[in-house]
Amino acid sequence: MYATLSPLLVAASILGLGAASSAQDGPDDWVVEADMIYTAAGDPIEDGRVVVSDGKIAALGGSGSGDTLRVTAVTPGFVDLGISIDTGALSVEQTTETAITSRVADSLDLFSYRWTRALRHGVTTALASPADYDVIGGLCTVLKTGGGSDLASREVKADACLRASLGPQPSTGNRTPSPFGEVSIYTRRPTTRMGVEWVFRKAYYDALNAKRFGLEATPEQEAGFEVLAKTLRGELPVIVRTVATQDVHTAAFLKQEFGIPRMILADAAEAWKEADLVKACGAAVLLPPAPREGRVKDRFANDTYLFALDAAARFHELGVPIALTGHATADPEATLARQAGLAMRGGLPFEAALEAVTIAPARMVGVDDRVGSIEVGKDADLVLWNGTPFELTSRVVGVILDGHLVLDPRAASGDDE
Amino acid sequence: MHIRRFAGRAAALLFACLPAASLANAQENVLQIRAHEVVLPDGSRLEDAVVVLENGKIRSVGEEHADPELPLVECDGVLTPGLIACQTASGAAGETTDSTRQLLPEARIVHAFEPDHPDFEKALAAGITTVVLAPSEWNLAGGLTAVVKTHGGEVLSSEGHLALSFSSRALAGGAQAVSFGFGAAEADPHLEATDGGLENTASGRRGNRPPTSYGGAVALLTERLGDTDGVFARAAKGKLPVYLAAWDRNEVLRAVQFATRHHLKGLLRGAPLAGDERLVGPIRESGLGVVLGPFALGQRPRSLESVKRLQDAGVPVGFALGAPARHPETFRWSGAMAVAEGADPAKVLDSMTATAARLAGVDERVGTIAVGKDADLVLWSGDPLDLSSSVEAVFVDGELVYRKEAR
Amino acid sequence: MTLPTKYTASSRFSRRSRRDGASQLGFADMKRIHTLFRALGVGLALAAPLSAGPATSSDKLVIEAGRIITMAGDDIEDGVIVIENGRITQVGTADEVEKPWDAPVLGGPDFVAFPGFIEAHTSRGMDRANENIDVAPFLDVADSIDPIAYYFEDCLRYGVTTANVQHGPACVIGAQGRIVRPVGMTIEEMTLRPRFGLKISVIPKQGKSRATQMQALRQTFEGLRRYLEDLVEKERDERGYAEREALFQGRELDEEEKEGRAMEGVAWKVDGLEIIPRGAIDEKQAPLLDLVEGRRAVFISCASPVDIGHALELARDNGFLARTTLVITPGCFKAADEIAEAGVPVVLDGGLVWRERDPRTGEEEETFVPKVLADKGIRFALSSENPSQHSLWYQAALAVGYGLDREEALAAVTTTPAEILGLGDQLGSIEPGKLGNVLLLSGDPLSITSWVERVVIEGREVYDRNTDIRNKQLLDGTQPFGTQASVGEPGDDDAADDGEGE
Repeated sequence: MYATLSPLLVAASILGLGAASSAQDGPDDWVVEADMIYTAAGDPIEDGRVVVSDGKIAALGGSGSGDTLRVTAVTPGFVDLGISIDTGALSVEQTTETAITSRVADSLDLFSYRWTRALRHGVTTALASPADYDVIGGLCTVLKTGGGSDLASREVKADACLRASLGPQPSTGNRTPSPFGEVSIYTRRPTTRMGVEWVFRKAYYDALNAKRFGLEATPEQEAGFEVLAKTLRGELPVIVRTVATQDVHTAAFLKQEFGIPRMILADAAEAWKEADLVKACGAAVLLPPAPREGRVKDRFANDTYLFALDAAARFHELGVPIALTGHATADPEATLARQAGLAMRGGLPFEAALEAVTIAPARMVGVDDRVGSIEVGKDADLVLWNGTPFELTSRVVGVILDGHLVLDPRAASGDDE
Repeated sequence: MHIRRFAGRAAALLFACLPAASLANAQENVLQIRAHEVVLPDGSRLEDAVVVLENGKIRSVGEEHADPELPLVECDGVLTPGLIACQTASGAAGETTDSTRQLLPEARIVHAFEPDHPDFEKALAAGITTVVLAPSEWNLAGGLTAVVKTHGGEVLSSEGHLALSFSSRALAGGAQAVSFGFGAAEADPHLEATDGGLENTASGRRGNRPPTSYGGAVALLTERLGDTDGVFARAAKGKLPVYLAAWDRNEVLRAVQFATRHHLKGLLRGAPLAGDERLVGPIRESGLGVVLGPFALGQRPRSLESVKRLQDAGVPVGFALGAPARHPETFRWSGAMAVAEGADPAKVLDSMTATAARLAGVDERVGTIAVGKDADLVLWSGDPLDLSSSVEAVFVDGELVYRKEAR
Repeated sequence: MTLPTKYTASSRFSRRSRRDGASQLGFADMKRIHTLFRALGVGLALAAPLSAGPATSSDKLVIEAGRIITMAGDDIEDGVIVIENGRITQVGTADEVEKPWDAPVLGGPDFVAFPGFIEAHTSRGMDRANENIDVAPFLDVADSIDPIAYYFEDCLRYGVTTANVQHGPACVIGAQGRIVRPVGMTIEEMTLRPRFGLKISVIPKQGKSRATQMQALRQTFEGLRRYLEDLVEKERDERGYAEREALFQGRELDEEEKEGRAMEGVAWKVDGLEIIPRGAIDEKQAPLLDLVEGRRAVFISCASPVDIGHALELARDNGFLARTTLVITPGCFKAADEIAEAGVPVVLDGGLVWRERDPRTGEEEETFVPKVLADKGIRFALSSENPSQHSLWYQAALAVGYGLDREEALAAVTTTPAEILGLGDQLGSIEPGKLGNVLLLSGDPLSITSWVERVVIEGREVYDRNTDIRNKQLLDGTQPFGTQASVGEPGDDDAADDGEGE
């Protein structure tokens, strides 16, 4: 009674994922030919060719062994610093609000289907962060979204940055003590935004002044001081979640107070309101996915924040480093590629949109030596398109990760571009 | 003494009608059993062989002729070692979780062993002669397992394994339930006293609060493995096997990597998808065994397949019982369902006997029909993994302790 | 029906102040004026999208564009469109077209002209989409349509110039629908086609099972038949009975309605209906009679492949298959063969892609439904009723991304819905003779960076993005005094998407 399924099923077959070793089904050598190759490292190459060998980009142009894949456009694999694939509350150590030495690497679920989904949508490198239930959640890890089942084979950079959160989220769940209530580890400060700021400031204050005031510190605390010292030396960037305008203010002031050289404002939906301040203090900005309407309700506070579609364009004009972020859900409207398109809709030029999802985030966390652009010697992470990238009329039809073809453009060969 | 043979298609169990006195006539405590098939340690079956028991041990296996002077039990079915369940809470319902603290590594669950509890009778009637009592996955370090017999009250081991949990349940439950600073006297010297509720955990002092994250749990357990003495120290030296509870695949991988990193011996428990191709390799390399099940009707094929995949990879597999929440009959159902999904029946039976004994650390005593082992045997009316067959008789330490009631 | 002149903020204000009219400004008056200002602010926000500069008094309009996509042949580079009295009179290059000297000119070389998008079926724009009564063909959506609903504003913003508003799917038989333009302050001003179409749903209404839903539908038509037979019989017994009954119920029949007509049903007929004055037929049954006679379009909501069979069966049994359009969700593609065989068009609601997860392997399988429909030769229109509520241009662009031909995708939001609504000769393309519904876009209609800059409906400019306050707010975050933004939910996500753990 039902129609037989058209051969145009877009089957989500992932090739080559899962085997811990590098012995995959397909060959590791590929030649990708495209009408346009957007390298994010200079002018795009027309009618170009990318030669992939041994997991790296071997050459641009010229010939290579391996099968040929012919597509319309190629971009570098996307880098998403705000992808939020974490184990929720289990990824962040809440016994202390400043879990500085906690490593999210130990709490990852690499079996989650969301990694596969992100990969299918072109995100090849992602930053795994602890959920924002702590003021300082711990150390984040940059990893590939596909590959072996253990972190070691996927890690691009361990402990790449420190995650902090201002705003209402870290204080959610904390309670002031009451004679009737049950006491738990959540009976503590902070319970307000100012408490959150206090905790952040105290952490840095202690780190800077422990010796001076003869503070007795446990080995764990000492290790925490050392991490904060690294952020102050500029060796480790700090990513701070700042959704509302007042959080952006707070972050800017804290940056200036302690002289934190590298600070990235994450989920910074309202940062556009204080664009000049952001520029002046030298922070970088991660923009959240564009909501359908202009305002989005904050889950953790009785508050809404106002999103501006042209925020990316504005920051770009001001010269503030920006990156876009997406979500790893089934909704293709929330993918990183879609965010790039929407940023263009808000006025961001194409080249800037491309950089905002590739080399710019890579630079922010210091992995631009390996990923973020199509250059000889870098990891072979490529996204293959059947049309102009980021347009609604185009789709990601192929993905190469570390030289392995994880989404095959030839599988969807039934439909033309 | 007469031996009467009952004809009939159903396997017939023959008993000489043995008044107690007649035993005394024969050699002391000697019994012969002849079964249509006897399962040998290597998994092969001996037909119409006789097994001789003496003083509670197996004296010989494979005689062709029974000594007419001695009592003989004949059965048309299959003789296997007593089944061994690698996890249960029989007789100890409610005793496997402690809600006052997350870490109680020195606690011994053997103190909750109640040999006369009806749970053990039920287990016995299902052919299970030895079980591992294990703390639940709700405590981070739940204590020490115990290996006991289901009849006679013998404790084969009061410190079988150190139970550790990599499950999220050990995190979620602990954080809220444990109060600090207001009377929860913590005798464990490794954990600091707290300085009161309100003071912020400034600059990362965790105090004696149990971890709320996977990473925190790993960090704490790693720290404990550095103890100079105690059960953690013994586990770290490889002298005490560990019993790692983990469910989701990322938890399993975390547990396996932890064991590999610290060279721990022992087994995993839970892990319904341990057969995932991404996990089999790491599990095999770690040397850990895996205790699966108990499976329920409608268990997903991917989960049942795990048995086959792990066995094919050479990973030792055992089965859990889950009593009293699960009826002991489901024990061999788990095995049968695994076979239906492609596992080798001989290996599955081995997982319920010889390998299970090894995982429980009691293979010197039980688990196989071999000379010198305890005479813990089960007579089945047919193949044990054929669900239409039933337990005809169970012997523990050479004594007939269960006999199927005649209709 | 002529369009209203645009409301400007000033005229609204002066009208209000005249009504409130106090010459002395006392405290109460100050309060009133303060309220006035607030109301003005709201009024501004509401009125603004509909106004664009000075009101045009001329009935002619010339539109220039760098490219005209006509949807009736090749695109025209540097083209000109002339609209007179609401209809397109000329389309062509600047040389080919003779521009009336007295017509204002809109557009320019930076714009792309495109026919207004057509929403083939929607249940938005009403205060509530569904009425509680199971069988309610006597209701009219006109009574529910809210001219200032956000939906109509959105229509203009995204270039939808015609919308077929129908009752929602939570009914057995719903109200009569209406084709409207998204401009006007009253329903009369908005209406393009009154009492257009009827809604039927084979999706079980709350509390019903499929069996009882189908039983209710069958019973309704059975009831119609019995009613008509009964009426004929009574009229035969007693001439004038029907007319008296109508009078008794308060319905006076005019001359036209006193005419009787034989029943024209294709599937079943009731003999002798010609003796009954048409106007005397109970207004609760009359729309159904129209339907059975094939005189009324019908939109049948389906939510699963099973529903397709039920819908087609009902339509065949009661003779309205030729006027049927199915409103389907993506999952219904599995019954595509049946739809193709029946030759009925569909409106695709609820998204473009059907996703199913293999319970064994956990892998997701996607089916792009429009391609399935296109391959089987089923005419289909896209819809802006989908989970993210993206409008028609977005859906068409997405469809191209998934592999649909550009031409097919554009047709699915212009010419095909025009045909479905029986307005294929009036709308859907830029051709002489058709209504002057034209969009001026900043780029290609399917490009993500294109915006709808101007909207012309029947020769009048009704939208200018420069004065669209809500659009400004989305774009650059400005929040004018007195306006309220709608609030979305934080998109997605996290929980419950995996289904992997055991």
